[in-house]
Amino acid sequence: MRATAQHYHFGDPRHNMAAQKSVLLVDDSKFARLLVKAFISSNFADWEIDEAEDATNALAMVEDKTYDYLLVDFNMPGMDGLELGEKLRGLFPDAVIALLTANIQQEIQRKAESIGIDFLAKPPTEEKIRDYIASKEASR
Amino acid sequence: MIELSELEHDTISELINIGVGRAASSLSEMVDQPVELTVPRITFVERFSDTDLAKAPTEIVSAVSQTFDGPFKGEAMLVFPEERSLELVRSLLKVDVPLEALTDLEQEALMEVGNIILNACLGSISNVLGEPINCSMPSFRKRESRSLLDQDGDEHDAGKKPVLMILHVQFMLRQNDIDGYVLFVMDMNSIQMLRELVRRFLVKSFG
Amino acid sequence: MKKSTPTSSDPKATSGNPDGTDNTAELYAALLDTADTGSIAISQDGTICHWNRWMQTRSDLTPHQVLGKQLAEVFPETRLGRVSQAIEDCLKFGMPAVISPSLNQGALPLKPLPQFAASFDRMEQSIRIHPIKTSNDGTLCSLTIRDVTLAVQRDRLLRQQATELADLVTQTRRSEGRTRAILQNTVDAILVASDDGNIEPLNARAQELCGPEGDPELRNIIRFLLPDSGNTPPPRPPQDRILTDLGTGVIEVLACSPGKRDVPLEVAISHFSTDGRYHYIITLRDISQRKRHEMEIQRTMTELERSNSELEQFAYAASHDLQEPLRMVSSYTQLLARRYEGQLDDTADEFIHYAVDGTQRMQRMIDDLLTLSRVGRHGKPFHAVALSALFDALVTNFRRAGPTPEGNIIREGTLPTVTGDASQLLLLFQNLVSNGLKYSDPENGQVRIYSEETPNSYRVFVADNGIGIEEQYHETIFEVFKRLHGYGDYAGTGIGLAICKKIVERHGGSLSVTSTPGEGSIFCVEFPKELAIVVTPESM
Repeated sequence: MRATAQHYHFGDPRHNMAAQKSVLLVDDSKFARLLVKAFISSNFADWEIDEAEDATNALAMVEDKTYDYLLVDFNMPGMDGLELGEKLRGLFPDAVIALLTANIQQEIQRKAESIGIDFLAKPPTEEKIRDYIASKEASR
Repeated sequence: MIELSELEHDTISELINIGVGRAASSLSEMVDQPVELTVPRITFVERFSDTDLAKAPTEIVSAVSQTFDGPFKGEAMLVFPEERSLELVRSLLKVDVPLEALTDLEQEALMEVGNIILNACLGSISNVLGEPINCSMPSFRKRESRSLLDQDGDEHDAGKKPVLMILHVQFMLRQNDIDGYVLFVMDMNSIQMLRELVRRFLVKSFG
Repeated sequence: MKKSTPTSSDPKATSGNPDGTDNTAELYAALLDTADTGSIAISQDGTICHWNRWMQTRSDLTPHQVLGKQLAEVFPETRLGRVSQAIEDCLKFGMPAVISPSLNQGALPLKPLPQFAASFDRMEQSIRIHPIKTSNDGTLCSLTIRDVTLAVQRDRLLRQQATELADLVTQTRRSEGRTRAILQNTVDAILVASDDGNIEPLNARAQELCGPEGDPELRNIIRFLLPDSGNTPPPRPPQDRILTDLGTGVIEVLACSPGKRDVPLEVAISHFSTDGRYHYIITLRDISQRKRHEMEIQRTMTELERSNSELEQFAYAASHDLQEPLRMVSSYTQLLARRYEGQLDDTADEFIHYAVDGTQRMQRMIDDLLTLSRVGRHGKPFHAVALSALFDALVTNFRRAGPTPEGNIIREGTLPTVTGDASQLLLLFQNLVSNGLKYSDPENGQVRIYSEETPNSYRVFVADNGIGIEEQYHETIFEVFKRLHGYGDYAGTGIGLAICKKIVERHGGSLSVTSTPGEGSIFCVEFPKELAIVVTPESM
């Protein structure tokens, strides 16, 4: 999988500009966090990636640090991803926030849109994560 | 004994959650109302008598079952106490019929619900692990929970003690929440194979 | 799933084909065409590669029109739907699928059979999607479609009937609850007895009276009151517990519950039969209040009778004892009149005349008072009295008494036969007729007697064409010594109508008058057809 990184041109000035971004992954599944982390770090080598296993931890972490990307699982014990997303949006109006879920119901998608957060269908694949972040970087 | 590392357990949970999430989406679209499906808990037990279901051995349960075959094989089942299955089908179909048993058509609808959920779970595992799994058509059974696993032509006696992976599933519908179980009944060889495949996948992904 | 069986794909297996051809595909296609289910096969690339005859007839699309196309091209509405998703999962992951009619109404746009066309726009379908592994390790997808419209129709009917039944049950329960509430809250105690002698209290009051806290004897009393069931008759309860004579139809019993006041009860018994068995409904009504009232009335009646009889006694004694001195005064004044008339001066003659007249009038009054008191005291037992005959006797009496103009007393039609004291009735009508004549023109005076029948009474009218009575006097004329006119105008003691009234009352009837002054009066005597029990000959 890491081989795919070769297809990306890190010499590209756009990517240099985008270097050293920070990401927060919020997911109760360690496996899911590992997977997404692997996909990001293999494509964006220098990025700083932090993890939180639920909303409470995530909210504690954002008190000390600002993130450019916040990827949030929908289905978590305690506060769900939509609720957390809404709070994070309030804290970081300019950050990229995405909801990761296998549940692609219209209702949840619509709610995510209404609070200004993106929607990424689970399972996460390398292409999905890579293309999403790349398109966000390009538009900055 | 089944020994799974925390990450292995977590990986299987996540794969199943992904499947269940997809199943919820499909169901929601079909019945045109929000359907949420969560798996709050996954447990592994070696004997059926250790399951929650066995606590009410004479309770009548409805089960949709699909056998699967591949690198690991066994039977997957969606199980509800009969009353819950009535509630579920009737909430999904938005009808309120004062009948005490599932009609034939309701039974078939429950089979489809089971089929969607079991396919999604098995499909998610098969898809991510990259191993094809063959599934049978679903079948329906209704019996006392204690004889849920009894097969007509019993074959798993011969040293092949079944191992159960039990998912506690929760349907969150507009009016109410309905709790059921998804059971994966496998023999020890199969569960070891599943664990092996998960392990290989983790190594391949994260080194 | 299982790999497709070698016999169906291996050409060698069909080498012995009876028609000599080797074309197994054609044979199997032909076989599938005979199936009563729809059969579609979709190849790895998602295009349709088989479309059986059933599909052709139900979709109106020939294989020529669909083969090589995606299902979503043939039926655009299925794009992104459950069927397309299931086909994709089948081709990609080898997942089979059940597509049920309840969760997917009319999954494919297929026609229903003509008999269902009225209630179904589409055929209701039960679809199975199955992966088929091909020999070259590819996957085909097979769709089997069954027409379950009939089953859906039956299911709808079943639901409808189940709902109706449930509604019915709810309604029945509600009305049962209401009936029970009515029964429970009825003041009367209600019990049901079956023909085996078992007595069951139906409501709270019955439980109170016949239950463990109630009267232990009451069930036996009820059993005694019920018609014999053929078994040995129950023992007769103590005399003091049955308050009324069993012959009268009204049954009253006394309930004596320990620690509570005794309650007189009226018992009503009705019956019904169910399941070929006879049941009695026993209603017990608390009549304490009524009993108290009855006793009150009884006491008042006794009191009244006593004072009445005292009064009569007095009237009789007074008039009887007055007669003796009066007779003496009367004889001597008459003697004075006979011997000394014309021997003293005119004034003395006049005084004597007044004295004689006064004693005579007093004599008549005393006679009348005696008659009045005798109406109650010396009444005779009642018999049937034909009033027509009585009236004719009355007319004869009048003729005998003195010359009267012909046809001044007329009977119109037949008069009824009533129950009463013949001599008193004669006196009654005699008084009424003479009263009528008295206040009429002696030449043209006329009294008519006629009658009418009402459901409960006979009315006998005595009508005159005399001076009439003003309305304000219609009540008072029946009182003793009431006179509307001076002695000089009309003779009489003022007791006649009082006697009439007393006689009528003794017969349980009523006496009234209607009148137009100057034109005449009509007296109406109303006799009840059934005599009230209260009026007994002894009590008067």
